[in-house]
Amino acid sequence: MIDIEPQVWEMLGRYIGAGLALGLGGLGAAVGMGIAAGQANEGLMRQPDTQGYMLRTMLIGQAVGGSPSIFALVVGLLVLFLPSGRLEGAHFAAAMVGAGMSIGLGCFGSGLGCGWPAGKACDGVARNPRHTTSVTSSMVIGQAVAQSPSIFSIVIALMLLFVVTAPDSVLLTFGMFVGAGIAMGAGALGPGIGSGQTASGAVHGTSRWPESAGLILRTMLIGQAVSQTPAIFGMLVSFILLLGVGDVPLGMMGLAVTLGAGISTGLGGIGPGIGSGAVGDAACQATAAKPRLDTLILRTMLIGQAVSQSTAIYALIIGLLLLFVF
Amino acid sequence: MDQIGDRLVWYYVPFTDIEIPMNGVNIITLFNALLVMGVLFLLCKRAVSNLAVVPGRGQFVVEQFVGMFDNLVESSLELDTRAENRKFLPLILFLFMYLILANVMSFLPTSLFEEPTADINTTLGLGLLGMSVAVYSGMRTKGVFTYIAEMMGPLFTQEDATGFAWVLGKLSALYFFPLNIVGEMAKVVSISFRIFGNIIGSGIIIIVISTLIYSFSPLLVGMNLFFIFFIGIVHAFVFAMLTLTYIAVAIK
Repeated sequence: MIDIEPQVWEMLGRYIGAGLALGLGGLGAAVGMGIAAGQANEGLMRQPDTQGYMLRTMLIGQAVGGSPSIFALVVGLLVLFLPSGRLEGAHFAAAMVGAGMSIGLGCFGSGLGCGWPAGKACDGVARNPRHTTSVTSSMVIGQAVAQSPSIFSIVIALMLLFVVTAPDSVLLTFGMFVGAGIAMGAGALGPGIGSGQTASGAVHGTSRWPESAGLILRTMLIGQAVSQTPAIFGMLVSFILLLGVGDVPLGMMGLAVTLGAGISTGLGGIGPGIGSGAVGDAACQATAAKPRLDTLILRTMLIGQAVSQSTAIYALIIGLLLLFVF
Repeated sequence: MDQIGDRLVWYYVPFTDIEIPMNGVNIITLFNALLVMGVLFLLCKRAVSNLAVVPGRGQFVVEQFVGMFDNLVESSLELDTRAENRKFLPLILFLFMYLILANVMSFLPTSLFEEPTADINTTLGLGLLGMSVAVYSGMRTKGVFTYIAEMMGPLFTQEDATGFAWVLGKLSALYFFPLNIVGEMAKVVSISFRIFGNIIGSGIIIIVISTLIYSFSPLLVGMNLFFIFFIGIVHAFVFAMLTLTYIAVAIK
């Protein structure tokens, strides 16, 4: 291995990890908040009288949509200032980089996703000022559920900081920890964006047809929950990588196998997450427009999402094959 | 914060050396799960104890609650008779009420009360329960052979195929059948890890932020209310609705 002193390894890990956590984790939330503010301006142009409601809705939407970046801030601070007792040198660096990767990518998706419902809510307040309350509550519920991928990635990041034990081989440690970070982070990226998109469809539908708010809420919750399946696959593979890798070969082969499993599951989850979020978006708007057809729409949405997620299942199969067969 | 992930597991029956099968039992989870069931049983007993023709306040709330779920089940399943739909109502209601109580029980400020849903074994059990009900009722409504033939994919059952197309259709089952089996297993994994990850993640966020800010209590109370009650209730509802939808997909 390269001859670097342990303290230098620790600094390297801390700084790269904190940079990844805050750099990526702040990016999505910032874009999301900007989308909300932009829609608020556009709405005020249409209905200047609603500025009290509009300001309140925009601020609530930005505050709830900003919480992924606060999760990233918490983990970033921990990565910078956590005393390094449990792991040493390069092992510690690998854990920090993995934690930063997990929380950064995971909060990127959720932060960006939470911006769209906030924007649609501002638009909806301008469109239908009398139903501000139902639009706002639909927005908050949608954003809260769209944050579950970032909650999953906080679990993995804190496991990397507090729970994991490292094997002797530095290369295998690197593969396990960074692989788990990529599997969780990239796996949460797509579902975060997608479930935010579903929520934005539901908020839009609620603002146009407030009388079918209950049915829209049900379609939205199921659509978001199903579109978060790739994030759950990512969490599963991260758990296996961090806790239960049986007899993975040591050295370079171990690095290849574990990192490959993480990359496959993580990147494989991005597309299905975004795609099935788009299905949910359309289904929410369709339910809003034709509440009589809600079961038909729900069933079609579920089948469509299941088919669009088969690629995430392929990626999961490849990941598990790498871990348990090779 | 070092206790994150620690569990109290009994590997042997206490005061003896009889080994407990399946790698021991997590005694806190078991205790809390039974506690939730006991509380739920008493609550339900109390709710139906003195029913009146003209409902009082409590009875009115309970009737509205049950009626809402009755409507949800009926509009999702769309079976022929009302009685057939109502067969599934107790399962869905049980899942919802049990998960709500289980998710919010850690609001009680004792370290003994831990959410049973923060243990993957509980949620995996509930997911398997829902999935077995879905598969069983699917086989029951459609017949075993039709159900399995549907698992073989759309090309397997097409009627007007002849010759080479027929052979290809039958061969396509080799591709679709394993995929559908994996898809069904992925449903169990996703439904049970979803609630587990959310509940344990909310708990961890509360622990970490409380450790970092020490004593600014208004924020902590708000955070507890949001993460425990809001996330807990939303995900209890999502779990119950997803089980219902899986059953509906299986029987149609």
